[in-house]
Amino acid sequence: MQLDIVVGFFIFGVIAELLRSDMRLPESLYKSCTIFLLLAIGLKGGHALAESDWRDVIGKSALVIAFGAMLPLLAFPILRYIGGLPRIDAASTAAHYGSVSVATYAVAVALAESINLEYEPYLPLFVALLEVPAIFTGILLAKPNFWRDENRGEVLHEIFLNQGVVLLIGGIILGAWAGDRIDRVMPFFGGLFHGILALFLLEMGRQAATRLEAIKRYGLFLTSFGVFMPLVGASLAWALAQFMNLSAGGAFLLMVLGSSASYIAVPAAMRSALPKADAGLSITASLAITFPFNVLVAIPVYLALAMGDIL
Amino acid sequence: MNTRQMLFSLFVGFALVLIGSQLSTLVPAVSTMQWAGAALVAATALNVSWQYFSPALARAK
Repeated sequence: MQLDIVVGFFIFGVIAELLRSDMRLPESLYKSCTIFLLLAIGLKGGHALAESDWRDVIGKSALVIAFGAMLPLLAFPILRYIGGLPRIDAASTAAHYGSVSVATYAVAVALAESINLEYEPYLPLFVALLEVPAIFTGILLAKPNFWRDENRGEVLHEIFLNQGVVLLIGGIILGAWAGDRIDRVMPFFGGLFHGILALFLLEMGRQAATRLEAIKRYGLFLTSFGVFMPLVGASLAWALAQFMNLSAGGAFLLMVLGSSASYIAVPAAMRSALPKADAGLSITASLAITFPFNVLVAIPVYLALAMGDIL
Repeated sequence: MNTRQMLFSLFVGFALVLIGSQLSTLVPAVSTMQWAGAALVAATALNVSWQYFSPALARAK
């Protein structure tokens, strides 16, 4: 399988940073790309979701929420008892690994579309649903008496109304409501998807490369954890996909969701909920280790597994 | 790097090598995973060797 062109942009970003080029996307453009990708995924998913059986979607959504809440429970003991991390850092990093990375999902969607692999329309809903439960598990692992905290209102606001959740859910609702009227915006949100994703990955590659020094600082354990946890998440997601009877495309995307780690929504929530946690540790693991590992190494393997080429 | 961390890193590295070697004939992309595993095992071995045989440690002894 040849490397997808959008992944090539990620590698280009890494190389440019390693060569100490001053190439970088303006912060506002990078944020605009994030908003575009979240809305594009939501709109397309919502449009397809309108024709789905809601009873089926609700049952599967409950399973996916339970899956998201469970993943940090697997990551936490590894970080705490093998890695020897302080409780608060282990809980915060575990929460990142239960949540999802929209960029990794977007890369997987681009790959699925490039080979005309069909998937269930409710997968974008799963992206939004998986953002939230792991944050709760992480917070409760660090602070079992969180519900008595004074700033819980602020934290809950950050969890449920962060940019990722709002744009994804908003896009899904708009897409479901619009019906055929969606055709008027799809030349923009559909036609430009791969180009904007490439631009976004160029900056992601640069940002990942800036954290290579931090990997040295945190040591080999973090690298091992950063490649181990995605494989565990993907394996469990594959089993869940078989249980939910998803198509090959659906199983592939659920594996990608299970293996990815958040580096936008969860860090923001953790800053409010666990301000003493080491944010650099979690972001280095998710952005500089797990994201490149998924994009460059693991996604083609997940695709082969989901399509039955392996088993 | 303590013993538990070292064993975990070696376990992950060897697991990647094993997955890669078993599946690379079926899916060429898996060979990348094999290389990633080999790099992790090598880095862990180097790290542990440096911890035990570094000149600074020898001086301390």
